[in-house]
Amino acid sequence: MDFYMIAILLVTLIPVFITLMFIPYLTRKTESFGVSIPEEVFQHPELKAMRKQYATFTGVLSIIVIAIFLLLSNLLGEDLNAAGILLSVAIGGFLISSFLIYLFFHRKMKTMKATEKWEQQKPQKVVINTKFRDQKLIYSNGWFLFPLFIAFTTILFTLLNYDRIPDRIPMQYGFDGEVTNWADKSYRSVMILPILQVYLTLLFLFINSMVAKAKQQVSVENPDKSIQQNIIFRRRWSAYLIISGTALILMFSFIQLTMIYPVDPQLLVIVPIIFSVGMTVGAIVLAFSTGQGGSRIKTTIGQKGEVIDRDDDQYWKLGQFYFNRNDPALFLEKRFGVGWTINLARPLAWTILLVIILSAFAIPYFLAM
Amino acid sequence: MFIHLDLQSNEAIYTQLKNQVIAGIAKKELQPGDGLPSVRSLAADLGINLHTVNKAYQQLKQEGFIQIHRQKGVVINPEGIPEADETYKRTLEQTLHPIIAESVCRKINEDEFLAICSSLFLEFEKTKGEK
Repeated sequence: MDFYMIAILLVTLIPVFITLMFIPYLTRKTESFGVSIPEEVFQHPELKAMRKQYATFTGVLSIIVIAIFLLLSNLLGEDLNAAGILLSVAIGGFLISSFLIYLFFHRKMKTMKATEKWEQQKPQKVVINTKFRDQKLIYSNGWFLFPLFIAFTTILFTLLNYDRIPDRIPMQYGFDGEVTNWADKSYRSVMILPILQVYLTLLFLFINSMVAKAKQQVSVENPDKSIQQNIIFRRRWSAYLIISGTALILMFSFIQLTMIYPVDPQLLVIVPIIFSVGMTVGAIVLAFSTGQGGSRIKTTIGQKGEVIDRDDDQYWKLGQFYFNRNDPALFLEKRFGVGWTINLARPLAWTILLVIILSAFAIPYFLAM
Repeated sequence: MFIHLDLQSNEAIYTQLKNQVIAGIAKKELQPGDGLPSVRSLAADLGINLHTVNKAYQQLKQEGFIQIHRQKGVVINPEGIPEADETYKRTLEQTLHPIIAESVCRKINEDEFLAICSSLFLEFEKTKGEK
C-alpha cells in the first residue's frame, strides 16, 4: 500500500461517505427519509434522533469499509489491477449497504407518518409563481464558449504537432502514474481527449440548462422564502458547473499536451488528484451551505404554516425514485439527496440519460479502434 | 403571482386555475400584456396533466382574458379585458340565481347577502389602491 493508493482512497471514498452520512440534514425540511412531512415536524425530537442514528450507522459502515479495504489491499500487495477492482467493489458494497440503512429508516418514517397522521390536520396545496421563470435562474450558457474554445484550440494544436506525438499514446494510467493501456497513434486516437472535451462541455451545458428547466418546487408554507432560496440554489450550482466544467476541460488539455511535451509522470497523477479534491470539496461545501433546494440558506424568518405541501409520496417509489405519469416534468429535485433526478415515467427522460451514458463509453471506444 | 391549487378539492383543477388567473387580473397582480407560463411549463411545475392546463387556458382565451400566441406565448389580453355586455349580464344573472335561491332557503336576507358581496368587492378595491 503506497502513498498513491492512500491518496486515491482519500479522494474517492471519504467524500462519498461524508456526503451520504449527512444527507438527512441536507434535504428539504418538508421531507424526512423519502417521506413528505409538514415543515414543523422536521424538528420533532424523534426525527432528530433518527437523523443522528442514520449518520452514526452510515459512519460506522464507512469505517468498516475503509478497514476492509486497507486490510485487503495490503494482502493484494502490488497488484494494481486488483486494487482498482477492490476499490469499485468497496464503493459498490458501501452504496448498497447504505441504501439498505436508508430503507430501514424510510420504512420507520412511513409507519410513523401513518400513525401520527400529521397530514390530515391541514389542507394540502401546491403552489407556483407565474413569474418564476422570468427571473435569472442560472448563469448564461455563453460561459461554456470558453471551454469550447479551449477544446477546439487543443484539437488544432494536436493536429499541428501531430508529428511530435510518439507512436504509442497512453490510454489509461495506473495509480502510480504508470501507463497501463496503450493505443497506436492515429488521427483518430489522438482525438480521443479533445473530442471528450467537446462532449463534456456540451454535457455541462446541458446540465446547466436542465438546472434552469427543472420543476419549480415552492413550499406552500412559505412561498416567498422558498422561491428566494430556490433561485440562490440554482444559481450556485450553475456557477459550480461553469467553474468545475472549465477546470475539467483545462485538465484534459494539460494531459493532451503531455503527449507532445513529456512531463514527470508523477505530475500526471497529482494534477488529476488536486482537481478531483477541489471539485469534491467544492461540491460538499456547496451542498452543506445551500442544502437541497436552498433549504439551508438563511432568509427572513418563516411563519408557521396553515397549509402544507401536497403529499406526493405515492409517486416516490422507495422514497427516492419519482414515477408520475400525470406529471409532464422531466427533471425535478431529488428527494433524498442534493441535486436533481428524472421523472421515470417519461420515456424522454430515460432516453436523454441513456444517450449521455452511452456516448461517454462510445466516444473513446470508437476513436481507439 | 402565486397560483395555489388544492388537489384534494371537489372543485375541478382547471376551474381552480382559471378562477385564480381571473382573480389575479382583478387584483391587478396580473397586468394587461403580462406573460403567463406556457402550457407545458405550467403543467410541469404544478405536476398536473397538460390537458388540464390547456382546458383552463382555452376557456380563458375564449372569454377574452388571455391571448395565446405562437411566438410571444401566453399573455394577459393587452387590449384589456372586454367589458360586460348583455350576454355576460344574462350569464351573471343565471349564475347568481341558484346561489340567491339557496341563500333565501337558508334565511340569509338581502342586506346580509349584499354585505358579503361588498366585502368581496372591497378585497379587489384594496389591492387596486395599493398599486
